[in-house]
Amino acid sequence: MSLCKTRLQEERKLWRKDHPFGFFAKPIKAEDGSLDLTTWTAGIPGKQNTLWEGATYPITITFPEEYPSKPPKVKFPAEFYHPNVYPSGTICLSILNEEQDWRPAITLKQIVLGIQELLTSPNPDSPAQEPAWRAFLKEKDVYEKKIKEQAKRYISTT
Amino acid sequence: MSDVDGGVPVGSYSKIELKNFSIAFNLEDQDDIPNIRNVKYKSSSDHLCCAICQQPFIQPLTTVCGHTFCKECIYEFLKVQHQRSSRSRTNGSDDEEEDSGRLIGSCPLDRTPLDSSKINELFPTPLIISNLVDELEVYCLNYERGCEWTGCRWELDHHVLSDCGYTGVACHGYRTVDSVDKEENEGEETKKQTDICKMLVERRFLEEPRSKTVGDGDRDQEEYECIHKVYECTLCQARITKIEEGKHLQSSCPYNYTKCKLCFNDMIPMMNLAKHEENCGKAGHLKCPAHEIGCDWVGNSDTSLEIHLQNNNCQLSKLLPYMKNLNNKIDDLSKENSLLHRQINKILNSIISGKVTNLGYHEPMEEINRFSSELSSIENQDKLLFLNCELNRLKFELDDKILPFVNRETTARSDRESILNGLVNDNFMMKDDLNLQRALVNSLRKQLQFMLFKRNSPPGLQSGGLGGGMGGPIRSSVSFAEPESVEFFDIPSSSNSEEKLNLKL
Repeated sequence: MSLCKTRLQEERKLWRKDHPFGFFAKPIKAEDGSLDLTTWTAGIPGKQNTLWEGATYPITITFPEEYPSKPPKVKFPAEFYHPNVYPSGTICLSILNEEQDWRPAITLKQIVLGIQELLTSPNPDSPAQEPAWRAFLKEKDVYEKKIKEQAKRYISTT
Repeated sequence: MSDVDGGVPVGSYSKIELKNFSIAFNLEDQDDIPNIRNVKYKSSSDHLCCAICQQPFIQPLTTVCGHTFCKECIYEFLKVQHQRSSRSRTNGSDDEEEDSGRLIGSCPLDRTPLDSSKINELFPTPLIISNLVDELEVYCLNYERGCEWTGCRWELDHHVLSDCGYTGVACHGYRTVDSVDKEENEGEETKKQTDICKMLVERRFLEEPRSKTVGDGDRDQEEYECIHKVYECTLCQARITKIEEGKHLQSSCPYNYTKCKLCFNDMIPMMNLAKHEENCGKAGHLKCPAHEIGCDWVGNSDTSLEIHLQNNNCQLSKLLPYMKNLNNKIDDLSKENSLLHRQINKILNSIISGKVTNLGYHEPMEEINRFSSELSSIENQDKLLFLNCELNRLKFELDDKILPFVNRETTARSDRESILNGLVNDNFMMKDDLNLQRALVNSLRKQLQFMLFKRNSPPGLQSGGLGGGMGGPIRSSVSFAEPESVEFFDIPSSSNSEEKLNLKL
């Protein structure tokens, strides 16, 4: 078994043992019914008392062959409204960037918590999409309205 | 009725595949080594886990910043980092310096720069840590196949390689194959051909000796038939192979009768025995407490059991406590034995992998062997004896003859030293005296010169001088200062030579 696979199994074990409240994360099922450990789906709940609360935002995490030496790729659904999310849904976050802050010691838990943090506190210095970034800087009310609309779309089932 | 497909004819070979789980170990080649990265741990500590793979360390290395990682993990990470940095470097300038093995990167935890070629930046973790991780309890790699073994991680290799019955090995049994369907030779109807089975089976299904002769001695192997061969169960005619035989007889053969020890019904199929015995027990059948060691008595009530136990009816029940004691002792001993076994294996392994070097000897192992073999030869022992005698003799000589002489010499030397000191003091005193004498001599010479001058001076002047009282000679000495001073210049030079003489003395 490769380093990547063993690490992912450990991640799965760790996650099942303990994970932050409101989150979920699981490997997707391949067509033949077996688990595909290299692709996970996860849900990020918006923080309480923020624009994002009340919704669980779905992400897909794809682990490359070189994981954990290289970071996983994390995506929201396409057209996700957030200043640091590319139109394709790819998240721009320093801890997920190989050239920046990625370290093999970062666990899945830290990744999802990092993303949750990013939702409520976007980084205006590294914009990834035009509309959300412009709105975030110039038209706060439009931005807030859009975020609330989005939260309704991903409303938590529980 | 049958376990195997009804279509499989007797004498053919079944195609039962070895159940392969992701981590189960198969010994296909003599050099196969179990991969402990796949091991399932029974217990573990977060502190002993590598930050990269999140598993207990395997061959840990420590960085200069104090973090510890598995060797494989940290090298893999440094490799990726190195590749990335060298790629960006070659993009800028086209230099192709590629020292293989040298990886430059940074610590995955705190980004301290690391150079894998520098032993002080990335070095083996202290043995205590690797020993701690090696001591962690693990399950057998074949646990999914049913092996119940657990033990320390360092024991795992030995267990799966040589002990575990669930390790997959090649059958290597001989098959006889009819070659009818191949080429039909005229004259011979069917030619029997032999073939070696290459399918994997769990080791426990093979007879003991075969697993040892795998790969060497074709003769031996011919005696074994491929265990995949299908034959009919002698009891129920179901078609089975050796692999399934035990399970078949235990749990599915309806005609494998045994006798119930309680009700003496001998028509109980093995598969139903447990249930039957349970029912028999409920029906009031009792066994003698000594049934474990062979008492066959059974009865229907407590009173009959009492009678059985009293009056020396049952000798075996008297032996029961003793036997139990013995059994306990045997258990303890076998436990101890297996522990010792494991420890020996550990020591052997660690010697092989170089953890314990030379068991405390200073020389390398080969040296010790060479030396001891030399010692053992008789000729050399004689030489050694002779050398010993010689050594003793020399020692004796040194003690008796040379040492007194040396002592005498040292006392004499100290005497001479004190004399010398006295002489040196004398010398100094004499030198002082000499200087005093010289000063006297100088003054005398001056006086003499003065007197000579007085005598040689013209008489007129002498008389005038007389008349002039004491003023005359003073004036004259002033007026004649020049010729006198010429003479005076000579004096220091002569006194110089005198001084030199003194110094020489």
